[in-house]
Amino acid sequence: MSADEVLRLLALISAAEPAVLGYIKTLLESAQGKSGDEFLADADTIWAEIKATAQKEIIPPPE
Amino acid sequence: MKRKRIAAILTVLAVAVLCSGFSCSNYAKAGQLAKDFAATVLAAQQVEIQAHKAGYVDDTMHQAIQNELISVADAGVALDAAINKSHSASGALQQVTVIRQLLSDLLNNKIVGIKDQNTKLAIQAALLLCQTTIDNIAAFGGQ
Repeated sequence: MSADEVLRLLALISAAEPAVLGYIKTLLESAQGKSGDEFLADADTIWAEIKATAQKEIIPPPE
Repeated sequence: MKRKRIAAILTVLAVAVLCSGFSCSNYAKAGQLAKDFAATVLAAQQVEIQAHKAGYVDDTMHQAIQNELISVADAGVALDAAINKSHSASGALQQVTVIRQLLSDLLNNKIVGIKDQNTKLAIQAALLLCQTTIDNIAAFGGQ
């Protein structure tokens, strides 16, 4: 892999940084003692976010 | 006689406490895995969105992938409900099967057309992480 390719890959990952950081935060939170209900409520919130984002991405922007 | 009865009651209580302890602990673990899976899909979605914004994924493919992620999210909600409702493996494992099929379709069909190899590898890696997480749920549910 050339330096240019590595840079492009890094740019891609850093652009997605908030989500990656959120992901790491979630994993760290998971290490804390929460109840099953709390974990599932968190999961449902994330699914709702994924759906809302996907729906926004599918709808073409108004001209 | 009285001692034997007390011993029997204590045994039953101990077994009940132990069982409820395991049950709660397993429920929390299943919930934790479900949350980790949702977070992994969210990260994969963001990687794909950024790749699309950067021009590495065309509009048609992007919309197809996002559409499929909606199906994954629906199945994820159903998975959470199955874990929550029954605290048992069977209903959850059905949803795990659905999710595995969707992820497999994303990996084997939806993203194969991405021309930029690095982008394809990045999205593939994110989706493989999702697969690994859902496999953990399946392995846990099968215990």
